[in-house]
Amino acid sequence: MNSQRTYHGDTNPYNILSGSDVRKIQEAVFQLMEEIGIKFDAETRAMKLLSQAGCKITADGTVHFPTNLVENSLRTAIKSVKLWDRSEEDYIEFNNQNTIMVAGNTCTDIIDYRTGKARSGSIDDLATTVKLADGLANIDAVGGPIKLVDESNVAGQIKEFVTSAVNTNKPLMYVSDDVQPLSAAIEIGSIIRGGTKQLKERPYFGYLISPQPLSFSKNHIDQIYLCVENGIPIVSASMGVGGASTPITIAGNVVHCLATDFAIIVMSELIQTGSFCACSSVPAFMNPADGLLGGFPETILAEQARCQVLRDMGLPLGGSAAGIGGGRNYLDGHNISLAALFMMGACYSQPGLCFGLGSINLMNSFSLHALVYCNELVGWVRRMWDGIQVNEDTLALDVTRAVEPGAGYMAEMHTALHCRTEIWKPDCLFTFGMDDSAGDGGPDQMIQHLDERLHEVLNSHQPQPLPASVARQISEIQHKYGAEF
Amino acid sequence: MTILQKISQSLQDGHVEEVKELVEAALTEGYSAGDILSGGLVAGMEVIGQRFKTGELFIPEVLLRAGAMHAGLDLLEPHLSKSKSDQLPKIVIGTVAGDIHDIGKNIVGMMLRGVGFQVIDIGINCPPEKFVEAAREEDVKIVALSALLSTTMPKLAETITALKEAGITKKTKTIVGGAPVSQAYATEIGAAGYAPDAGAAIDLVRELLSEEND
Repeated sequence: MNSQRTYHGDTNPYNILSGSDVRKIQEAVFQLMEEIGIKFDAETRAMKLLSQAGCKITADGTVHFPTNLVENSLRTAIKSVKLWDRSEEDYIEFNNQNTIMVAGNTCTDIIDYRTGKARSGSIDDLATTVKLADGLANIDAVGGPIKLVDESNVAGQIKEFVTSAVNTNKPLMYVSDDVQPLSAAIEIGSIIRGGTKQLKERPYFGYLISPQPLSFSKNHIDQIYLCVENGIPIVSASMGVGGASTPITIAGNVVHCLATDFAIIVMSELIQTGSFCACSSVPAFMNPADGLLGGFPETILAEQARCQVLRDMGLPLGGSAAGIGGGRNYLDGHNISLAALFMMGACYSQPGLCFGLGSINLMNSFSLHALVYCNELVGWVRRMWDGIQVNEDTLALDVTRAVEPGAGYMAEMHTALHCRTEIWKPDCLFTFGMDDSAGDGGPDQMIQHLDERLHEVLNSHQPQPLPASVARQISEIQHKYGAEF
Repeated sequence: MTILQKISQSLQDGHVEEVKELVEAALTEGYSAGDILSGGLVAGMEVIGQRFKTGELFIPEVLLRAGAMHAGLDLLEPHLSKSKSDQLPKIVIGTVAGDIHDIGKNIVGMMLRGVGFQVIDIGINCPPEKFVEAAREEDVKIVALSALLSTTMPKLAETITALKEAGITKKTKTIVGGAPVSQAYATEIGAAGYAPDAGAAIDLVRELLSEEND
């Protein structure tokens, strides 16, 4: 991993909004939270907490947040957290200066990497995808790439967590739809760390909470409590669908997403001061022609605006959906181009995490080839973030003096010293030196290169094994929840 | 242009107040409520449905026109006979247990309502028994199940099993939809149909109902 590396280097994010527009959005978020309010399940313990903190609550469960409460909560929430790998050898920092690259996010289908056909994912598929993610250098964390649809939700989601924990040493980004799998994950994380206190001190996984925009069910409120009480970093991951669940205008959609994120921060701070929540709600858009997800340039624009507003407030940024194609079943041209465009969007917005790497079909299908492709794109983007060093050495006047005008630089010491640091080395694509002799260099040829790299990693990489005693204790937890393999 | 054609045209243009005025005028002129419904409102919505299908109209624009249709329908309701021919086919729609996302369900529900079906929306996070209970109502033709999340998709299968066990599927057809759902999955769990989007859902419902009438 890259604990010492500042991913964004000296490059600045692209600021799409003027300073006054940033202010207008921030004010609109506070105004929405105070005047219009946010809906909470009225039958929860959150209501008492919010009421005691000064929120006005109407009979239907709409909570009106005083602006000073929101501002205080944003101030006291911690802004950076270290997410440690399973063996506690290294960590990644979750804040607004790094981007954590996350493989996958609960795809129901897998594209079989041998046949190219889509089918339901199995435990073995999940193990293979996690192992691949473990072996790819640019992937920082694993987000449950495959959803086990043939299992009951509780058992399946616990198995998903355990399979991920077994097959990668990297930290996890976990998502479940219920508190039970989250409870099990906390127990398992505590075993891996050697205790609940240790898990709090060195979190092993982050947890995605996905309420509807401006609306919190009991289930989501319970998940917030459980995470905060156990020191699990929260990633608030609501999804506004502009034109459907949120306003169709980009600014309006961003306001709804931020208000939802801020409500989680307020809740978290009321439960325990100094908690961590990365604002990660995604302002997506409905395609007005068919009602499906669309508006991809607008999604990227909204992400840029969202990240700029949060950065201005010093708040930890959450994620962009990156590396996500729109094609139905295969890593085709549509998927390849969308993944690249989303990744370039992330390159400019510099979010706190990019999730969904390797997902295609709008996060419903997982492709191992797509993950290898995304790993390559991340390398490219990180090179962009490394930026340009401008100093006496890089301006290169000394070597220019030494080389006769018109002569070459290939054999110069200056070139030799900089050839590895200045020029990014692709993993398997994006060079003119690729052997395309067997084909015409079209999409199939690209898949072939990805395929070779994929097999190379799967054949040579072995994830660090879990200590036997830890594995045994995890089996006991699985048994307790009826989630044995 | 007859007054029924004017209703149809006004509806296509999305003029709510004008549709209401024309429907009232047609009633005053002695047209039956059934004729106004079929010759004016439903005829207009047919054209709107076609224009949506060809991409000429977007969903929000169709829904705006559906609002005009329902304004007219409200005026007709007291005059419509209780005979089956005047009754719009009934569809139950809901999001399965554990899933609180209602965008897809709402779009499909509104579009179906817009093109003339009676839609009983039972909401979000619906356990199988809620679908069973709603489907027991007289003359429900279709039960439409929605799941947005991959984590809640298995509930589609559970709900269909519950509907089968309750004997509902003998007279009622089940259709499924949602972002993670596919035709293959729909077939696997025994759904009568699957639609990838709202437009396809309308076609699917019409197709299933015409099969029933054949």
